[in-house]
Amino acid sequence: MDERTLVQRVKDGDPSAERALYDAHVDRVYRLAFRMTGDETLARDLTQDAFVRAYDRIGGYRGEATLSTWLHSVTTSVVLNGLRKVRRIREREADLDAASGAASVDARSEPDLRDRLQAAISGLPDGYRKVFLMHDVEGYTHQEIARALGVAEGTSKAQLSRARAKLRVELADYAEEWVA
Amino acid sequence: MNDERDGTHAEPEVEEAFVRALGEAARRLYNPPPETPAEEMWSEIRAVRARSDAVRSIESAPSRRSLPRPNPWWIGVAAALVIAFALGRISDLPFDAAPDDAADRGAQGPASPRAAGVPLSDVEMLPYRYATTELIDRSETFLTMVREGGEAGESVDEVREWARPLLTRTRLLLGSPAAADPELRSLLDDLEVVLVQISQLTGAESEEREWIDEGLDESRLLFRLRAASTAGGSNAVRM
Repeated sequence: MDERTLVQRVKDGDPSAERALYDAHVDRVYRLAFRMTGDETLARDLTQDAFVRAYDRIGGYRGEATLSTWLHSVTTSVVLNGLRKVRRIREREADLDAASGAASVDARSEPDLRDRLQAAISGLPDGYRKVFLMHDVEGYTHQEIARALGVAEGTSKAQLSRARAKLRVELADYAEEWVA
Repeated sequence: MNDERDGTHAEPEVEEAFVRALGEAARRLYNPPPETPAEEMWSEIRAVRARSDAVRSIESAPSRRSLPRPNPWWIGVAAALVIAFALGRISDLPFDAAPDDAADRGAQGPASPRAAGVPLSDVEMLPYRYATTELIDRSETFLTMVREGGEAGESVDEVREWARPLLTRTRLLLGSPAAADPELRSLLDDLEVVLVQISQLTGAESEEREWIDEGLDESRLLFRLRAASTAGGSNAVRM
């Protein structure tokens, strides 16, 4: 099925066409949502919401970009916007952990890569973290990131560079080993 | 990984080996996603869209978005519910065969005759639809704010005070024929539980907010409210 036909069928509400689009993109959208949240329920809700909104908006698709680019841009934007709402929860949880001392247990006395990575990536500024996870972990291009975040490609590249530099400092002991 | 393609390889402070190893470690260890629950999510998406389509197809009245908003809003909702109750009772009259039956029904609440299968007309549904839409929109906004921890730093007293009128409207709707719709009833039941928790916040225990967040997660209430709101609020009302 060519793209134009597929778009028309989706606009007409054809479930099989909607499903074809969904199948092509759901894995990538869900993976990103899960990477960002680390929470299965939130990742599901965000992914579902993203596709519901994408189907609602498809009437406005005019073919300026390829359908897959457009769809992925819409769904990624919805997921990333949804993350703003959970950021405060994460911050509150982090505060509670810090207050109880739970987060620091063994993190320094017995370095563990998983814990160190978790702390280092979660500690990145929000913009850096998004770009790092999208580019270095989930394999998005800077063009895709720029479109989804509404920034210039140069901004995406600069944020990635700073994210890596910060992570290199945070994970200095591992960095030496990896580079060697 | 994408460095050469995207032109980010020329970073003096970060060696390529480190970047590659960091990416691999993060992919393996930082929130590694489980298998995508594609079928479950698809069922949910289809259900939301089907309800949305059904509502759009039967709605001949102007969009809820264009309805004038009463100020304060709860006066309008309360008025709508009063009208709805009145309509419900008037339309029940022909079926009140015996005074005893009527007394029994009164004891069961006004939802009972509708639950027994007597459908409401579109005209009768309008006040409920309006009341439901208002409640869902307000609740979604309110719960999002609570979930975010309060963008404007609201006090516990303020949050509690805002929850109470929503709780009252939720209970009014639960006692109305609108609750004959099982899906809406389930949504309102879950909403009621969360609003009760919020209206009883003391601010003394840090776990209170966590319990509320857990309740929201378990019931997936925000997603359901957003879905209902996106669909026009009244999508759950299929009386």
